Amino acid sequence: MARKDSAVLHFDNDLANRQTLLDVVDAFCRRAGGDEQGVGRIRLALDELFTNIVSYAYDDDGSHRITVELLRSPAGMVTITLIDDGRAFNPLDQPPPDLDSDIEDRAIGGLGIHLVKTFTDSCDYSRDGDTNRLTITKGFGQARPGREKEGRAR
Amino acid sequence: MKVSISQDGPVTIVALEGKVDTDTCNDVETALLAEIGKGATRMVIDMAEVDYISSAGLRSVLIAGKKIKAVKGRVAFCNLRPLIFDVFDASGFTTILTVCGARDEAVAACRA
Repeated sequence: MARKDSAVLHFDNDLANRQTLLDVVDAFCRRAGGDEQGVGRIRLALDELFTNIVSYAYDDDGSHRITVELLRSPAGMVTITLIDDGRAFNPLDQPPPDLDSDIEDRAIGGLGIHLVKTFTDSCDYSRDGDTNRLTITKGFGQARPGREKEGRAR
Repeated sequence: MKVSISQDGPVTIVALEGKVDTDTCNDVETALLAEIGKGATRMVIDMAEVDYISSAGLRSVLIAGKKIKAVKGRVAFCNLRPLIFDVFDASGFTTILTVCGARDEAVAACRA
């Protein structure tokens, strides 16, 4: 069984840091017992969130710090929180995308947050002082949804 | 990201290799639109060697799909890995785009 584990990472708001962040998260989730597909889903969720922050969160061109907190429970529940000091914005508030109309009418874009919601077990936003906090969870191993009902936050 | 283009009769085969994400989506979009610009109306996009796609990549794929639809052409995707199929499915792409198993099936779907 995987031990409890945690890490705190800091990145500048630069898309050049995206791959490093995703590789670290990838390794962290694998240690939690994640398989190829589960780890890929969480990697995608983080990619969408980090890319959104870097691309849209800031009103200036300056350098900002984005903090990523990783936590793994002994059972394999991974909790990841992204903290940025961009303008107050809850990405989870946006309406769901249109997934039903024909290709001609389908909007281009707007799928990122939908994928985050689909591919995580839970996601929560809060505004804490001057920072946005976005937390996602995903169960691997024994904490995989459907395998263990107790001990889950929802 | 590597893009390889080949021809199977009237069908243009575009084989993608690598990650289709914020770093590469412009290259993918440019390559797909270039083929459409050269007159390709039947296109198979082979994803066998694609191990990752994000919403930025989906955007490129949808833009190309819309272009081909606009010229009354056909586009079919094949060889999606489980994660890629997952992303297509969650995005509602499996209902608006033709997603096949093997390349042969995709080529047949485009010839039909």
